[in-house]
Amino acid sequence: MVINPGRQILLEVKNLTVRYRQRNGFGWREKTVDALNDVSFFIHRGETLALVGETGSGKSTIAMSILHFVSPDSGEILYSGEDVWKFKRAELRAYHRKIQPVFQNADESLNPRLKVRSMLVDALVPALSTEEKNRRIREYLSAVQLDEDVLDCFPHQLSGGQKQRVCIARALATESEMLILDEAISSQDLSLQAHLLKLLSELKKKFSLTYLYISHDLETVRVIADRVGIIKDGRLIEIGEKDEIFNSPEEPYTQLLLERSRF
Amino acid sequence: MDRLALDVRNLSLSIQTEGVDKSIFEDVSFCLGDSSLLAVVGESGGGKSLLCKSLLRLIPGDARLSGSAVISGLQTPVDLISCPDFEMESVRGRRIGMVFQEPAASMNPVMTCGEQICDALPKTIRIDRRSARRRTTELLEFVGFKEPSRIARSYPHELSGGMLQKVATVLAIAGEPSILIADEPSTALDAVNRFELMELFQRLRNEFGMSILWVTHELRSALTYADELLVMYAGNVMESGSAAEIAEHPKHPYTKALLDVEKSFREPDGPRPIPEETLPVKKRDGGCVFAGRCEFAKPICRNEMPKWESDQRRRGWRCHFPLK
Repeated sequence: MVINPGRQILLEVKNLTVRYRQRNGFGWREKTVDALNDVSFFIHRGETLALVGETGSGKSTIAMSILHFVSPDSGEILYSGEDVWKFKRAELRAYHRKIQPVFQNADESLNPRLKVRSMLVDALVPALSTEEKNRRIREYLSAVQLDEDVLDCFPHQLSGGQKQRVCIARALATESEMLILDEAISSQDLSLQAHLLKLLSELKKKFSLTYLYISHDLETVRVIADRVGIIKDGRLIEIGEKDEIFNSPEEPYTQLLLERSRF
Repeated sequence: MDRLALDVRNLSLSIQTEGVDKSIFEDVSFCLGDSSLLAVVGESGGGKSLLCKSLLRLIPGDARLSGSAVISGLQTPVDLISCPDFEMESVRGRRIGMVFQEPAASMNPVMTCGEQICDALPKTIRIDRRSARRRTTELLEFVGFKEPSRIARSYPHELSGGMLQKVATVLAIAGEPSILIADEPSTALDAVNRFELMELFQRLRNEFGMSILWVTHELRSALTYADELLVMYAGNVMESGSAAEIAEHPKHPYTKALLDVEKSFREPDGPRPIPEETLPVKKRDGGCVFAGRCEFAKPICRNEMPKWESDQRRRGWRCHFPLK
């Protein structure tokens, strides 16, 4: 791993290990499962790092640890050089505004009882005036290419693609610096995937965002990523520039993934 | 394809919402040959999943289903659309098995995989616990598990997505059905697991003589594995025919557009979506449903729904100006 001195590191994950403890039905015996084992990587500001691996390989656990939802057993997560897991309450609130997740299932991430407008307003900085809030909401909506009509819709009235865009708009509305896209476009069909990939790269330029893109699908990774990390059984087995990984993969698993790729 | 496993004719489904009949799909006809693989391709909102569920009559009570879908095979023919409910009970799982996109959702989280498979076995095997266990191990071994007894003892949350989808396939085939319906089984899987699952489907056809109806939105992999193809858009069949012919010469602009999107993922300028956003099955105003997104659309396309045309080799299409 060579750290480029010209670029600032936004997020660094150092020797992250997460174990899940499982008990059997009666709570007698306890066994531990290694979800993540000594994972280290970093993300430059303005970069897209893709993490690829199968379901159950630990990709999402990495996202959860970075988001301060799952506590690591050992290791550190540094955001702009500060340890996320040592944050006090106020710092944590500020951190959660800067780093926002977008998940695979938009239905589960949107509150079915709120209209799109109130979901977006809730995400904005509370101190703004009403006019300013409305102006910003319109700005974010047009950034994700949605009509203003959706503001008065409930999530169930929207199509899958529209819902996922609402999720992205909400993630942007907190003035975030980094998005964690956890299988955000995986379950959509190809034309919509193409649409969203294009949208994501436009947004990245417009709002100078950093992406952590988590996926099982190498084809979309090929389009969006700058660097790629391959995860298998809780270990980061290979990480490098996109071209390196796609043209000369070293690990047999990466080679297999590429060989079996769908086109 | 000489013998037919499933013969679907003029199947239509509409659901009442807020007092208005909303058509989900219309006039769908196709044949599934004995031990062949038919792929239903199209984008979300095209009515593919509801087509699968209609064949098993797993649709809401106020939905209106018409047409016929006859399963033949070795046993007596049954019309899935008009047969009484009790007969349907013996069809689900016994004559038609089903695999869904989300394997975890089709399993019971508090039962081990082995127990669930035992429950799905035919009564003749289930009657004796030892033979049920043996059969479970056999089936798990068949789908490619090296330690079948460990898998049988595991709970669904202990397995990875690829493994779960294989267990779900075992659940679907445990009742020894002759037809397997798979609704986007590989969408949530990574490339390696997807490949293994498709290999497994091929073996089910070759070794068990199973006929498979496979729903997917990936045209490229459908063309690789399927014998026959059915391309659906907004509840209408746009094109059907053998996979080899469609790969060579797509007749419908929609088929071509889908192929182009897949190709564009590898291009340096990045992926190009089909113009305009996909809407859920929209209200028809007479014209072709695809006209709004079609690059070859002419005025007539917006006003008149094209008729279904077909040639002698069971190739069919629904377009005023089929591609050469």
